Amino acid sequence: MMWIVFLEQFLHIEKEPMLFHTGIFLLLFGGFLIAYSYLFEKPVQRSWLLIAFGFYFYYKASGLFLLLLVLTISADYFFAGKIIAEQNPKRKKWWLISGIIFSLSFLLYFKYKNFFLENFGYLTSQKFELVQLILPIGISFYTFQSISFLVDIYKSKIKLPRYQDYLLYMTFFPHLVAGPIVRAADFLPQLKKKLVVRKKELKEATFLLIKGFVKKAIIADYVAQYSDIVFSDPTSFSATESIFAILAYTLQIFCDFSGYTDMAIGIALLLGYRLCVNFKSPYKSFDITDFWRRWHISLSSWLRDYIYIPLGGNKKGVQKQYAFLLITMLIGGFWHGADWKFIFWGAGHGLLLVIHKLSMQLIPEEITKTFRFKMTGWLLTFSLVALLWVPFRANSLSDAFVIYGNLLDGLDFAMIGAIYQTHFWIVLLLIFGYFATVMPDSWKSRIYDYFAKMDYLVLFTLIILLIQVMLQFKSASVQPFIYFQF
Amino acid sequence: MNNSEKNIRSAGLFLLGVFFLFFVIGSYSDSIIIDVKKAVIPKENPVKKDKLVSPIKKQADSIKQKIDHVPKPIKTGGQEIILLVGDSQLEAMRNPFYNYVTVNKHTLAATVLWYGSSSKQWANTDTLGHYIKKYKPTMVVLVLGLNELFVNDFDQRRKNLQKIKTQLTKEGINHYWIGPAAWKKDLGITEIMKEEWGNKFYPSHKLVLGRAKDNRHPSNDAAWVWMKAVAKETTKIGVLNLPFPISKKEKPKNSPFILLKVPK
Repeated sequence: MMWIVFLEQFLHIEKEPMLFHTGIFLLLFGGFLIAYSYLFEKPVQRSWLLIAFGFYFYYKASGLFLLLLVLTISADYFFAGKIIAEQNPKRKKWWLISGIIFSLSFLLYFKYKNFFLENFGYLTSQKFELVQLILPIGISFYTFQSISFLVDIYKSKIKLPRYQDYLLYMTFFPHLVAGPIVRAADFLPQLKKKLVVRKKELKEATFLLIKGFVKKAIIADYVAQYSDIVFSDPTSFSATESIFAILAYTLQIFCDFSGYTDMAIGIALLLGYRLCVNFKSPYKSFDITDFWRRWHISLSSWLRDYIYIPLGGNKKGVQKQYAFLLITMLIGGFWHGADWKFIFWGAGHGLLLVIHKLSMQLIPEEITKTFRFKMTGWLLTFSLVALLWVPFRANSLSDAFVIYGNLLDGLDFAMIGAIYQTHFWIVLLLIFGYFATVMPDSWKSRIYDYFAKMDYLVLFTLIILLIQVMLQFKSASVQPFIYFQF
Repeated sequence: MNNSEKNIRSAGLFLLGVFFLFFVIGSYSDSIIIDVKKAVIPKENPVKKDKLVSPIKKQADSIKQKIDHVPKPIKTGGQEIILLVGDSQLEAMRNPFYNYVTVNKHTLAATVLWYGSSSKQWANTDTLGHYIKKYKPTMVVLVLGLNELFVNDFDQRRKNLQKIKTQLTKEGINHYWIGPAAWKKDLGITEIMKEEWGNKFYPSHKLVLGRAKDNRHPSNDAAWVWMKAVAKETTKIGVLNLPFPISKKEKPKNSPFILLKVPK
């Protein structure tokens, strides 16, 4: 019977997607790479193998919602064909709108139906029977990809690819369930090039995989144990504990998501493809605009190109520009989840962006270049970003306000010692994590150079050590990536 | 075979090797896993329950009759003779408490741990009076409340809290209540305790404390942190001066430790 239990691990298990840092993924992907190497010089067969693995990867995470993914992809392709074929501009636009509505409809239904019903019911004093819907994993990501594909086709930025190529673009498993949001214009040209996986790519991929593994499986999952305690019952905790929890979550979400992205980019490199960079040390930002150029770059640039600029961007006057910024960030917040707390988070960031743009007009440029101004800007940006993670993580908006209320109680320095003594490893990981996050880029390059020259025996020892550390630090169950829920 | 194919294949084999390592290391590393709670806890011998005696059960009326006299003035700020009473939290708290009071030249007269007890038992029996009479403390410290986190008969509980306080006040005995180190949010009893005992109540539920294996009681190691926080507070408000930190941990000597059975 043991083999049946073993085989069951390869079937879809609800809420247990195949994560990059789990044993089952290593086993399957290791085997897949060996098969892939035999088809590497045969583009058609190689593509189909990748598509098949992408299908399986999605099935493992989301079960029969795989059919929905295939339907969306096929419908996109149909609408894209119609847009290309149509000569009449009005009808062309109509096909575009129809395609976007079709694509969005599934997202709206699965993710936002209950939210709208609940709030509509609240406004009209009616009570609706809410059906608990399971959200197809990655739907927010692939919906945005399909919209950008249709818009780019409409604007003639890209030509209609072969169906097989579009299928591969959408089901390419490294970015399928939690991003980055890859643009067709960036990915499809790679399919026409001759792929290469040299020693350089191999080293880079290994480095990214190890980096992502440390970020996710060691730092993010361990510090999450502290933030989870406080955020699960914020009324019971003091200002100092709440601050530690906010700092823990601020580091956790960065290490979790950027760790996933590092692994995704590393895996894609092993396959011969290059995905876009999604994070550029965001906690080193000197202002909030800078932060959004460094945080979840694929989403922020998507919002800029497909919402902010089409709305008018900065071409319709300053006041409208601020309004467009707010709208864009509200949509960005709402994209993360159907909850007022995400809307609050998006609105908060939108407001900060507007305030930053306003203040930049008032402060002379010479002052903005001074060291003191930059450091103040960094501290302010980091603090505000961290404070805005509170509603993002809290169970509800009211819980977020409880945490904010806790902060007003004032710091108790005795508590710092108490936290240090009771949560020594968490404090240590926070210090290590933040140090690694804000260390100069030149140091990071030096670490990579050292890694690239590393002897295989040293590398092997390092991997054993990391696995041991991960197993010692792991919580009872494997923690899914935070962005899997979006 | 070109270089790319070779490299991809070696990457595949490498990942299978890592999987194998995961499997091998994972199969033996369970025994050395450290987690948030266990990371800093030194192992200590459990308290020996060899002195179990029955609590003296008499009703509150009889206590009233015995202590129905003019209240004595409470002297604070000097060297105290302390009676430490409470529930199972004392298993962990007893050692740190002993160390803190002795290093600060107070005396721990005795420790009475009544398993499963709450304010109800301590208020409505003459157990407390009995041990006060026996050890003649100048101060009583209670570590109590973990067994009543989820009660909601607040009016009755409030009366119990008042009763204990009145008893000690009338005897002229200095007193302090170290509130329950709750592992979960209560239904409101800690707030009632705070209302009734004012600044003589320490809100332990606000602390982040490591837990013992049952995930409920504070761990032995966490109790040192807990006591440190309590000492800071009692010194600050002047109810029990414990300004000196402990330099080395000692096991309680020459201080009786009485264990009482769970009340029926």
